[in-house]
Amino acid sequence: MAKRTVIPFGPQHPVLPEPVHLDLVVEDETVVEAIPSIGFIHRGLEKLVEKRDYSQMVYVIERICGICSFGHGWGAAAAVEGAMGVKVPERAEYLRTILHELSRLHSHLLWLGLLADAFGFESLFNHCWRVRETVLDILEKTTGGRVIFSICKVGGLNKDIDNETLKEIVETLEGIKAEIKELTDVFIEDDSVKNRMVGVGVLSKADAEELCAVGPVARGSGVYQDMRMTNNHGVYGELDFEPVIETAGDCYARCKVRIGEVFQSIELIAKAVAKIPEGPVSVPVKGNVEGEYMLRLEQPRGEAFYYAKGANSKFLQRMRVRTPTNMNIPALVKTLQGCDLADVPILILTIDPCISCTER
Amino acid sequence: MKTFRIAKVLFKSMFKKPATLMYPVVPREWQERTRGSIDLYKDDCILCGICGRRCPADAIEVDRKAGTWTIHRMQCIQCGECVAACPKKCLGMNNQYTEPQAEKVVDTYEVELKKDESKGKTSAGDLTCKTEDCVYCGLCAKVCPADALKVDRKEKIWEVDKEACAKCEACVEKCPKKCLSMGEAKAEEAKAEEKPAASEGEEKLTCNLEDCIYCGLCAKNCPCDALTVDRKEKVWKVDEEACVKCGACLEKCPKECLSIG
Repeated sequence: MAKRTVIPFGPQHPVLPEPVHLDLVVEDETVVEAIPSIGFIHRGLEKLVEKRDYSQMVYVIERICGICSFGHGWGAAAAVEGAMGVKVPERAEYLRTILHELSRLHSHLLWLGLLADAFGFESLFNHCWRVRETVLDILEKTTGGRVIFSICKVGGLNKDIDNETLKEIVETLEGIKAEIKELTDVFIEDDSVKNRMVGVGVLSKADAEELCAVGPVARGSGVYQDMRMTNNHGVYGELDFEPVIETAGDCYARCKVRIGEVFQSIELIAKAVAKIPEGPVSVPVKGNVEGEYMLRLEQPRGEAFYYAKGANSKFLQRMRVRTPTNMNIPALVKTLQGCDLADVPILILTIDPCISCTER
Repeated sequence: MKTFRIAKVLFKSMFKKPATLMYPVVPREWQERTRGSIDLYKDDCILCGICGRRCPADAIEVDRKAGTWTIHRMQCIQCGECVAACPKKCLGMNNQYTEPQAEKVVDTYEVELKKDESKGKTSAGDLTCKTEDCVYCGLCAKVCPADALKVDRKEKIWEVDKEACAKCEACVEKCPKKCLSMGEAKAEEAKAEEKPAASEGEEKLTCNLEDCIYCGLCAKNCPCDALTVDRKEKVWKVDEEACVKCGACLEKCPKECLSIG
């Protein structure tokens, strides 16, 4: 038996945009065990509910993470709306869906770039981020912020987006579709990319279900699960939504799921723009929050859970967010067992870790 | 074997302009909606402090006594909550960011309150209530951001703490009887306006008749006699034009079958 060595990985590592630490127990070049530890970026945002009222809290929850910010703002607002029994106007639901899909688009394009960076394909990384810039420009034009939107509020949206702008968005996205296709073909077809991903870090369907993996990680292993199917948020029920499923369970499958979702998001936005009704984008919300509500929402990284509890006051008693990366860490630890040390960065990236979300 | 699939993209980009700008030589063009920084139009500011209370990041400090409005630029998260909350609409979102700085920037604006102009007249700029019209519904006190108003329905007392009053006129807008006014000139204006029949169009007083025992306590306590209750005929009626949605009936209802909303 070879000698076991422990190699610390992170919290500072070139592949990690955010701090997570792994103790990798290796035998020769093979990882036999990985022990994760987090806690480097805890900010205690959930505790702030005691000092910020529910409408201010939406802005706070939104700032949990830069990349998933729209979903977080929506989740927090929708949880409070649920507890108060507020019905959001239909146009606002459509616009929220469109903005959420735009943020999924920019999140996945960012992730594709990071993945290319992880296996050292720098030009592919730069081109992915070049295309992503177009999406960020759309978001800035419509909401006023590139990654932090501050457009969601309890009761609807702060600003309306007029129909002409929406049509322009669809045209712009159709325009960059060909560019995205050129880049995603490299991920799907290029041998140098496939050599790093096919068959690496296989997570079986049974394991994915048992370890409660969520989002593209679960869907890459063939688990038929996407919170957008449940139609409890947004208008996905009216857009004929079908999740993207791959069955291989390796890094390549997870990458293909995300690529599929990039094109699916563009389609969903076009469908939503075609169907969007006229009307107001917000309803006035008054009074205190009483009762509790929970909501599951599909973030770019997977299912996120929001829980709000009020005690007849402007201040919530509890606001809980459970984020997708939190659920995917057990799956990551499982796939790390038996992998090559050189594959560790790619494996960590394919769960698309968002540590700021995880620790809040 | 498919290698070097990216060749096409790379070849094309060799003949294109760079995707990046030579910042700062070429300045970045901001969108109209870009949330850059908060502007204060200090002529209109009444130092009510609502912006400071609404700010999720505690970036705004308003000092009425010193007459200053202060923003901690680095603390501000540009969420726009203050802009939406300002009753005088004297805050705006500028689409230009503040200059980059190495130190924490604090901008203080000195705001002159307009009450100085009318010092000669006794209470020209103060909030007054025409007590003959007042129904002591207490809606003004509820909406006051500075907690400067005291209303007691039983004792028929309406009091304003002139020191605390921020003169934001939130109560004047809210008053269902239009008996509040800020200074004399405005009182006449308000009178001429008449009451906009359903300023709170969506709010309505309703009674869950299944639970109602027609005791009549609601009608007895209504400050504007808007309710009619007949126990024999089992009738509960509300005169929507007279009802000011003050909630006095809700407080007295023994069966809790009344609601506003």
